[in-house]
Amino acid sequence: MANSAVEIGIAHAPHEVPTSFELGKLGMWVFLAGETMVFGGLMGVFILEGISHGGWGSDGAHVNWRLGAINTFILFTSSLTAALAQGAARVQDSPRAKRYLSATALLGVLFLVIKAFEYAGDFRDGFTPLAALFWSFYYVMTGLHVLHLLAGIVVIFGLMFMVTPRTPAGWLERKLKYVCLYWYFVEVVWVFLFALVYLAPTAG
Amino acid sequence: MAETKPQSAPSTDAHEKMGFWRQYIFSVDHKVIGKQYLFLGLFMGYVGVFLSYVFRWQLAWPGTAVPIWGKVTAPQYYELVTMHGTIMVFFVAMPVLLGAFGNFLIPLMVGARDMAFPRLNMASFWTILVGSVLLLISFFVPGGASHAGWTNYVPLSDASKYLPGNYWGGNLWLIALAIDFASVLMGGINFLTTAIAMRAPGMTIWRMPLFVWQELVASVLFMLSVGPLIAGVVMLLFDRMVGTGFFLPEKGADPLLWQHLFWFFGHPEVYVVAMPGLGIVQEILPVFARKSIFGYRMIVWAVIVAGILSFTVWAHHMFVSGMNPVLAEPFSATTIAISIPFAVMLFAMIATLWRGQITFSTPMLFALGALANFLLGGVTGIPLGTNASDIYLHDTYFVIAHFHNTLVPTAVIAGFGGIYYWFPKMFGRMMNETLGKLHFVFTWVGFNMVFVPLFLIGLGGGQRRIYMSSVYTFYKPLQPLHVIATIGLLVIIVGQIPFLLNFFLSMFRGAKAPANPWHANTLEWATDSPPPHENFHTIPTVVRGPYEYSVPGMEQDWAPQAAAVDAGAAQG
Amino acid sequence: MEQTEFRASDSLKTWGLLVVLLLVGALAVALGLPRSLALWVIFAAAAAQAYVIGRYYMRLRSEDVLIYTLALLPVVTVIVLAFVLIPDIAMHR
Repeated sequence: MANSAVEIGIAHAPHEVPTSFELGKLGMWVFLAGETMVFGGLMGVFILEGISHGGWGSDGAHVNWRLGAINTFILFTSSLTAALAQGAARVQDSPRAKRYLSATALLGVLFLVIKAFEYAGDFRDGFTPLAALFWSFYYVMTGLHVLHLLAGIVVIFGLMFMVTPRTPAGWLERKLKYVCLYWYFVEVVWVFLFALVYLAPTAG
Repeated sequence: MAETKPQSAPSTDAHEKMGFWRQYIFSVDHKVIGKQYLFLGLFMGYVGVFLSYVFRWQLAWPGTAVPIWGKVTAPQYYELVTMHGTIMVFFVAMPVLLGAFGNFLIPLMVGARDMAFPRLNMASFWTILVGSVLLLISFFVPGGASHAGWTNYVPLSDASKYLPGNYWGGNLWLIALAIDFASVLMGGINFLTTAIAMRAPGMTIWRMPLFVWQELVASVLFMLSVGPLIAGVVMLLFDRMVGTGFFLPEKGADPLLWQHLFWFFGHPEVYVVAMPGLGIVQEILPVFARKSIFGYRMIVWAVIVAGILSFTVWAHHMFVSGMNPVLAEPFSATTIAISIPFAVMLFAMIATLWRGQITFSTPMLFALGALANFLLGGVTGIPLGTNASDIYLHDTYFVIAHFHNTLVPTAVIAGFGGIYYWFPKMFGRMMNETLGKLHFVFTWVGFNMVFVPLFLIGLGGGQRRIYMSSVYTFYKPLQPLHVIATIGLLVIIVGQIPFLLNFFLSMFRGAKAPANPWHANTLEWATDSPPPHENFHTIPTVVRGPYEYSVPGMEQDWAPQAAAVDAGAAQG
Repeated sequence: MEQTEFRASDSLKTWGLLVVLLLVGALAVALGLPRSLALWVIFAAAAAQAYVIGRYYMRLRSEDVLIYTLALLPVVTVIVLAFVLIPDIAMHR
């Protein structure tokens, strides 16, 4: 059977391992595709229910979009430090990469702290998950995002503890390729959550 | 790109002697994990069969005491049918076809030393084990296991006021399912990464065995379909445990949403189960017909097209649900369209047999049985996918007979065929042919004895999910058919005795298996039986496609995919 | 292809672009634009942010077709799902 060139993007010569993929990165992309369906499905349903509820009306008017904007800024900055950590790891500067990574993780923690205060304020004002369908969605969607962020923080701290002076060169760079991928994905999710749950219901 | 990990050399620490626990229990070896999945799937399968035995007895002889169980009450009946469906689809079909065969075979068939992420692989098994245990525990919580049907439709499953006393059963059902999904997603990440990025030299995508293709497409389908349902499960858990109203009309939401989310996953899911099953049949047929598979590329494209179309058919489960009728016609059309790629596959498989030198060994018998019944299941899907006829047939036993005729041939009959076919590779011993054939006859005849009558009951208007059929006069003429079906189930159960004897005795007492007992081509037969740690002594170089049997001019009627350099493995 | 030296300026530029886009979205609310216009601005800004993160931070710029497929397939699937649900969920009442 003649071999077609329709390899899915795989550079291939007969006598070498037919791959140029880093396994961790490829696996992470597969995982993120599944995650996209979870968040995408949730957001899609949220949009459709929003349309059927006339844009959520007064239910959505009380969400604290200013705190949300601050949190968005914090996440953007955490991604900046993540990207800088990747850059430092690429030139094998592990100590600097670790400093940037700790900034990323601590900014993540700051996000969670602000989010906790926001939840507390919402509860104090009576906007519990039972207040309205909008608030049910609000807690499920942001809650799921918080869990993802928490997982990312744990992984980043774990990674920092695993890097010692004896860690082989290139190890951190490889790991960061997919750990940061996950972090950026969680950020993309937040970008859409911020637009959907914070800005859109309060606009106009 | 930088740092491609070369996989020609075994990792340095791999050949260290490992303790019993690391080697057999918390193993990261894909072969051991595959076997663990197989044992879990078989155990859960027999639990599921036992449940069906109890409610089928109730259906045949309503109100009589079931041997071993006693009288069946109405809540028990709904508990039994719910858990039978849940266990069979999510905790038998998926662990066996994806977990067991996918795990065991994908690295061997593509010529890799292990899965891409061995620890993730182990985590996947332990996750589904936790899910299975939770599901079994739910039988013993107050109120029993979920009564809401395997599709768990809202609002019945939503608030505790609709199914009073079933609070923890319903919650555990949702939690077990979410855990099961997480486990299969982890497996899918491994399958895709391994098959894409860890193939042996020369193993181009057009030389991959069809089983690998089918697992690959099935993993993509699962990855793309399950997300919204995971979101739905979380929402439903919130509804049940917190008191929100994501699916409750009285709180301004829409109960149809659950059905959409469930079937958006549920329909691709049946292909997630069917495709690996068909892949097993497609591996077995050429070997025992000594003929190349008919239309290899055509089958691959048919699988891909079926995979794409599977995302466009889900609302055919909902023709009578009160959804917007605008959706009915397009979904009827797509459903009829999806029968085309499956017909292509079936005809290709039948054409593979044409003028082959067929040996009716046990794996071949199961493959042929699966083929025959899958055809019946596929054909009866068309009246159900067409909304005009579905309105009559919906929620009758016709539906039950239809989906058992698609899922059982692929998951159970082909699955058994796969066990007989790959048992020598898994355990290094041969299974007994006589006991195997006995098992086939009982299973296949019994299966048709159950489900051909159920087609007739459905056509006669027999509704499903009726606990005490004897109280309805319209059911009287259909009742003898239920008796035949239940006797068929007893035949199946008797037929499992030779299998279990065969399986466990052969594992320890069977004749030693050669490396390639069936004279098959694919890479798993190019290594020892059972394969050594890290699978291959040297990674084979693939020189041809997987199905080159009876090539004119060759002195033997098979042509292994691997170039004959693997000195360590004895040729069969 | 792969840069070998450490350059912080690219990441900083990306970050600046993201912050500007964040301000665009937030200002659409803070200035009280008419609702339909504000929604367009908000979602355009969000899509632009996702694009910037995907292209520069997630390195989609230098990826091959397989990774693009993995990234876009779920997006397409989710859009199909949402469109089919419109008559049942969005136009329900």
